[in-house]
Amino acid sequence: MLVIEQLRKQYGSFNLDCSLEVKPGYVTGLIGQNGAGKSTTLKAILGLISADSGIITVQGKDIREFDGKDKQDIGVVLADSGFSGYLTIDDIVPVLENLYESFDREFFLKKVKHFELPRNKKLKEFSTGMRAKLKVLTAISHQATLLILDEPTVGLDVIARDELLEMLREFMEQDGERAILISSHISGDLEGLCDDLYMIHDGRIVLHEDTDVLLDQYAVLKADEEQYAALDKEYVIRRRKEKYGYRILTNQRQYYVENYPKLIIEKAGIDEVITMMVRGEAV
Amino acid sequence: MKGLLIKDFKLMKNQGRSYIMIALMCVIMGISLDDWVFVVGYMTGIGGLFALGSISYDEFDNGYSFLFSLPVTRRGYAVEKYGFGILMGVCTWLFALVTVIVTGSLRQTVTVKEVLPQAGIFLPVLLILMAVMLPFHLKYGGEKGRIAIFICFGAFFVIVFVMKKLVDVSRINVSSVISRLSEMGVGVLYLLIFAVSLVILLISLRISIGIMEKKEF
Repeated sequence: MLVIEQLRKQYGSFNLDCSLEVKPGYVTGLIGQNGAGKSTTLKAILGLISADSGIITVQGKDIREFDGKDKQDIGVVLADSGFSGYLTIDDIVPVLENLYESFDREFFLKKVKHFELPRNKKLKEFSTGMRAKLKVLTAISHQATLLILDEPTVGLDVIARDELLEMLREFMEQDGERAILISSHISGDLEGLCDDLYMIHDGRIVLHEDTDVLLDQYAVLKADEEQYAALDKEYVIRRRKEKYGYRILTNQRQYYVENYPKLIIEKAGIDEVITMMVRGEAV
Repeated sequence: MKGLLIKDFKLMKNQGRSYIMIALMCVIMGISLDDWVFVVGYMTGIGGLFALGSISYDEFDNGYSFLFSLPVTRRGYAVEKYGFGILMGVCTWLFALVTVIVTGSLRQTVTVKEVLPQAGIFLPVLLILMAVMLPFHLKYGGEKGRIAIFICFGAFFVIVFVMKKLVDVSRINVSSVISRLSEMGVGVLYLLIFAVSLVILLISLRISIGIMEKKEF
């Protein structure tokens, strides 16, 4: 669906060097700290910035050759941008109808009513939650095959986040060929939604893994100096010096559970994996 | 492009009060001023400025990023801005024209026959105004764009001044050139001016498309 091959972009001292793939039927997460390169990657996919080198294709077509018609298949949510705050929902309906051939007005207005979004109020007067819902609703209302979502849940409370993620699940259930690339720094959102995850740090992809594998097989081992010295390091991804010895990230939890019964072994969540990937050292 | 035009009209609609004020101002000027040329010229210029206002709305709050993630091409966006500006300029020109004809007829200061042939000159002026202002506005944005336009007009006056000096020095007989032009007849002269301004507008549009295509959001 979406393939990024060796995308490079330099901004001063920041260097983006990223490759990733979003397969049809997949929800792929892009996770990383603020300034890691998530938004730059998404902007490059959308053609908002030009790449210094590399190729980005959506459904086999180079995005540099994209015209208005090609963009009809992509739904977009940007964290820091949207329709002018001086417009109302009633204003944007005819705009969307004329921009998207497949805009589903009935679905859109039904959801607007469901979420109790005021149709005649200017968007600048909307709460953060209302605005976020409208953005996602706009992205999923024109039969897009690919959604590019940049921090769609940022600033939302738990209930609003849940509603929003549910909307995205429904979107995926309707067509097995659809795909989503979603960036977030809220690991909880991604755990429950994504099929696979890319972790980005300092402009580089530091890890790509299926979410299930990451949650099931990745673990943190806590070893003192003696235990660490005796440890088989073949499956150690990162280590970090601690007061008690070493904190170790592995992707073979079961191996260490079976072979090192005295070791403290904890399942690693996404946050823990990110921390270790970023702050730990490679062995 | 239709979607973008609708967006711009919707944005305009939400600023309704300002436009009612402009319309009222036009009527008041039509009633109180004897100089109908000023009223039509001024209003046509204001109409062209609507396009600049709509660009400011688009760029506000990172709006461009979202706008260009919609099925909108950069070329299409530039074309739409010129289209919107011309549309609004022509509408305000028509409104001002009707206003000065009605108020002038009531006050018996001007007649339709007097106004119509001369008012047409403001349409090429509108095209040139937009041809100069839109690329600056697209390149530098609202605030910087205005400064750039002032600099541009300053440079324009310097060029005109230098040209006048050159004409004086080279002893070209300007009055004979003008008299030869007037021999062409008003209709042909209008067409010539309109054609030249259209060419300038198209060159400006090409420059604006280039500006938009190079922009990063």
